Amino acid sequence: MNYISYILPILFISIIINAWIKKVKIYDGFAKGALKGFQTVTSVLPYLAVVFIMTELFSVSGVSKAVISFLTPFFKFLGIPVEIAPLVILKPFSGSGSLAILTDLFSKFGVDSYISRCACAVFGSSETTFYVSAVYFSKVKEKRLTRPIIISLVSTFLSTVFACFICRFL
Amino acid sequence: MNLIFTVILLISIIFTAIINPNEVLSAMTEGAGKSVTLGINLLAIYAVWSGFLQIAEDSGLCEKLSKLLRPLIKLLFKPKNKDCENQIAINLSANLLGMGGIATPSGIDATKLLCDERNYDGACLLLIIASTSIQILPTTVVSIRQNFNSLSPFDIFLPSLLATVFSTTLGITLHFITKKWAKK
Repeated sequence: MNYISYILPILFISIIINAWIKKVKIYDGFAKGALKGFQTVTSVLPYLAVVFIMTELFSVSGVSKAVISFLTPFFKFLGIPVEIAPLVILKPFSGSGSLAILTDLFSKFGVDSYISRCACAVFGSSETTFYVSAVYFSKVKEKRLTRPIIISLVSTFLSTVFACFICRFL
Repeated sequence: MNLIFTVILLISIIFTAIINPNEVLSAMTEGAGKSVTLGINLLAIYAVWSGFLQIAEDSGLCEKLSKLLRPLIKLLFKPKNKDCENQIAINLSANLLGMGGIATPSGIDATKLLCDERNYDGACLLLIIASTSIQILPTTVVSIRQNFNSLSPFDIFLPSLLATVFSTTLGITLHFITKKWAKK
């Protein structure tokens, strides 16, 4: 039974019922919120364009492949399976791209294999750092993001090493 | 961000030009096209989430949530006003539940409010926590595993949780270490 699929409907129902009891104008409130949502997208869109142009060029140019093959011996040394190297490299850039790699690994190696389980842990413990930083700071003028980005990448990478290590036992 | 973007973009353009000069422009347009598609999807997603969120806010639910998380938020971010605290609370709890759709709008607002208070460190920390991904429930991964007929789709729960706790803790620690160091 997939009980995770019930989380969201229950959440929505309880929000509506709670608002109803508190006599909140649900129709007006929802419309107001939706408007805010549209404004958010408008302010985020230019940054999305920039990040996606960068990501696309990064993979088309073959630089991503070069980085992967350059880092492979290093990854091997740290106990990261070579097969998931593309996932580790691409994850900070693109959520949909890394999701494609993940499902690819599932069909290649079987969903319950060590490699797939590693890939899952890596996928779950990291985020699309460049996307998140571009979007979160889209309404802020000052953008000194180098330090937080480097910290995020370093922690995510070390947790990848850690994830591959614990997947051997768990 | 400017430096990182410039370096990656420049190197990528140079290499693409060497391999196939015709592809430089088309790759960029393709990337921009993807962002437009994503933008349209986001419009739909945010319309739903922000709508519900507004109702939750109007009925005082967000207030309750932030009361619950207040000690932690005060300790880590030191926000000065309530609104900011609420947004951080929504962002953190949405990220914890693996609901990126709801986390992003509140993340943007919280970052803006923190920066308005001249609390740049707090904004950086929020970004670090979001991008080291504090997920309790790896909802996406579990549902894909189910689609692939995994024998035990929830098997990944523990390693994922350990890894994500590890990366977030490390991120927060590094933040507090380098914060002092950056100010000197």
